[in-house]
Amino acid sequence: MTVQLNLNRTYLLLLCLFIFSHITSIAQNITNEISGTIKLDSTWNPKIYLSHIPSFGKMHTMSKSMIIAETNINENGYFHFNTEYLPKEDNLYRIHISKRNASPASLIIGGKDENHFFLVANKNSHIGIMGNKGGMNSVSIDDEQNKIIRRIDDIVEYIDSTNFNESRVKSEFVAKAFNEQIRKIADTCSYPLASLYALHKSKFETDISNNIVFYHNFLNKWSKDDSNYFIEFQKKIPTRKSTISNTLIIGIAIIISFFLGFFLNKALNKNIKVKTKLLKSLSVQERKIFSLLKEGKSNKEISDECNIGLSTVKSHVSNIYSKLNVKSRKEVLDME
Amino acid sequence: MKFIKIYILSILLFVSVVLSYAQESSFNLDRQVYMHKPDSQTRNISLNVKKDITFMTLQIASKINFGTLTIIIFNSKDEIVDEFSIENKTTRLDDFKTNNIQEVVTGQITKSIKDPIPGKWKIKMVTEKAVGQVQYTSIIYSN
Repeated sequence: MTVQLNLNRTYLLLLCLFIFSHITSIAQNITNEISGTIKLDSTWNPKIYLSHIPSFGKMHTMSKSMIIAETNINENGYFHFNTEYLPKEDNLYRIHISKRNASPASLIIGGKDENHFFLVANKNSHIGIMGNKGGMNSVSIDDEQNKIIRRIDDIVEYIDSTNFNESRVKSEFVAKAFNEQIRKIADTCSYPLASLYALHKSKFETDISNNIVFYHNFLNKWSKDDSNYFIEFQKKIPTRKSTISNTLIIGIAIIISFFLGFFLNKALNKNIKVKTKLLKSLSVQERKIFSLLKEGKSNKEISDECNIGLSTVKSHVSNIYSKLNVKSRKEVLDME
Repeated sequence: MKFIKIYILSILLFVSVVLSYAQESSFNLDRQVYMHKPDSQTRNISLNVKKDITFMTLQIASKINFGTLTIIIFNSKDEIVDEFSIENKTTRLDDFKTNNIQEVVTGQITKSIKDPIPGKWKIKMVTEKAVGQVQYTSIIYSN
């Protein structure tokens, strides 16, 4: 009986240990980390380094101060970096290895020994990397955003390979077509940093002048992203000419002109109406004399023309002045 | 008669060897720049790419003990082909003066181009208080 009880206890203890180890392994699996396996030959140092890339302009800059972590690659090629101390926002990082007897801070660009690749990560990232025999160029990454980054890198590598294998004309065609494809990825990608990475890899500087609207729309799309990466990119894009304000200014000018014209017209009409009213107050004889005054004729000439006496003419002229509210012949002549 | 045949065969062999060499030739151009004292300047190294060049490989290897070095490769249209920069700020100038250099930073670039655009290619090298060395190697194949 006692033996049976002891056996049960042992089974229970083993079961607890099994459950505990299982829970621990699950907890380890969900630890925030960048981990994976990379197959290296003996020419490489079995260490791997993680560098922070603060701006796209620093992608091809190597400095010891940029390296934020280093870890060993074990005999199975496994390595891992903890990501819990990384910023909570997505940032660009570079993972690199170095040759045996070379400095840890070494950057190899191009050729079969290219020793680095880029990825986007944050403090909550859980990224798995699978290296193949093709070296650092051919790693695959399991999270969605970094799959896009790898796809972009693959296209860029293809463009470079045509420089190596094909004629200049074909290389230029391929570069143009595939850079356009990378820009489409940038346009449709839902991750801001991967999208910006695509634009940087598409040699956007040579495309800005032909496609400025695309770049303004791109900046509008990600206007809420105020990271250094976007601020740096924004500085490279010429500012949009303020077409809205220009339209607004033209609109306001038209409205002001319209109202100015309206009021001027109204004021002029009012003046004409007043004059017409005043002229209507003149008698038939006075109107005839008024028209002769307008022709610049003297009292004597008016007297001769109208067969009336000079004193009568003077009397009419005086009445005309009084009705039209003028004081001299000059004012009569100036009247329109 | 046998002697004449051997003679003609030898001549043909010689001509074919000469012709095959004449069809494609290659030459290397190596250059080293050493910066023993903190160096701050811009150097432009020109590379005249002729029309008959079918393939070109540029390799630039550099290491610095101190300062900053930037390498930019321009093609004959003045477009940037590739670039890199290395910085060594962990070593202080005092350490350098006392020969107590802890770290070196290295950078290497390899660019292979088939049918490169003819004209004057340029390698721009910008240093800022840099101490170290740069080695340029260009291998050029022509018809």
